[in-house]
Amino acid sequence: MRWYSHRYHTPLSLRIVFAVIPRLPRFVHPAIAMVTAAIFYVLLRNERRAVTRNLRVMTGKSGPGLLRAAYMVFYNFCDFVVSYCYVPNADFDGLESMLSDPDHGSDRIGACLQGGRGVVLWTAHVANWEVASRLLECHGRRINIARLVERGNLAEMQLRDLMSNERLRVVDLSDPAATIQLLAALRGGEIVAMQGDRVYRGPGVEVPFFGRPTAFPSGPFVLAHAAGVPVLPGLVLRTGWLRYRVMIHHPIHVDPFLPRDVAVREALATAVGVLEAHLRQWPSQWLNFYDFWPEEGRG
Amino acid sequence: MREAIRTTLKELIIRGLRIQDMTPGQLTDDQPLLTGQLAIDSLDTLQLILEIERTFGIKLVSGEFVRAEWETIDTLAATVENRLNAQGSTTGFAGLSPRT
Repeated sequence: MRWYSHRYHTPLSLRIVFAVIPRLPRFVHPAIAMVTAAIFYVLLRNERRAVTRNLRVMTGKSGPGLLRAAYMVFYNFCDFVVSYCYVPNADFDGLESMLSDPDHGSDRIGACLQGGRGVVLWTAHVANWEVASRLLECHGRRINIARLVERGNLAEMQLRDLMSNERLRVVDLSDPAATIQLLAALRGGEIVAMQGDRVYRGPGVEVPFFGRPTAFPSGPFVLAHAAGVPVLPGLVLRTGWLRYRVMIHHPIHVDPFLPRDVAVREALATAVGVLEAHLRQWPSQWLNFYDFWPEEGRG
Repeated sequence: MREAIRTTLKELIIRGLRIQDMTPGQLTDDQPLLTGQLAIDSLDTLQLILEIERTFGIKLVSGEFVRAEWETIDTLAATVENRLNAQGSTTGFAGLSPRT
């Protein structure tokens, strides 16, 4: 795997956040986040450099503008971590109160689920994907969150357990049976949510992304093709401190009449185009702290 | 019946996973599918499921996932047999067609 698992991502760090933050009034959170982001911006040198290189590719910026954008990635990540204090246990009203726009794509998702079909929700490490996951519960179907839970990474396991509930199941992609579980879920009319911007295994499939051929996982689209269900790109925008907008885009159908590889590549390219358009507007909300284009910008 | 299914599954596994250094005959009935030597994963699994479904004319995966069905070649063969029985096709399957 190419990304870093930094040394502060530990159960102790999470315990500190969960113990301290909810006891403080919300209006002081942003100030604490600004300081915390600045500290980690300095401490996490590898991550800072990787984020800066990614942003240079995405925005073409340099100088102070680029450094500020990189700092904002760390700040946005603080918002994301703090949200774990509230999102896992929030009721539906609580979740809706975190939205700056009440439309969270339920009509579009509902249309895809009609007739007992399942749907693949394709998302990315943008802003706060966990809020969107919880909001999916309003559809009355089980939600299967496909994520890699690194063995031995106790913080990741803690977050997985925190997000799981009777409606929301985390399917660990390191389990060899994960694909079968996900296919069964889709064929059973359930929702499968997958983050499609990190290639965990294999070479992935290259499609254009910010003007460069870039590998993305084909799994969500291969699954959708096998199950005969659409893929819905869904991205979240952070609009303020613990405030979000969920943006569900048009469904993408993996053409069953094309050769599978062609259909998958075509559908993947469409979804990646949606992600790129989103990131062109809000590049600092992409929470990837590793070199997305390792061959770029090291000079 | 079960023996024919097992044989076909072994051929599908060797072919579907593009295993070069084994023959179907070298796979044992209690060969673990998801762990050990085969350790089928991700897209290979999907490909194999679709191939099995096409070959036997059944829906192998639907609704709830039952891990026990996927433990070994034998348990998978039993699952395939059950699906065939459920749709009344027990006499329809006569083994894997030769590859063209």
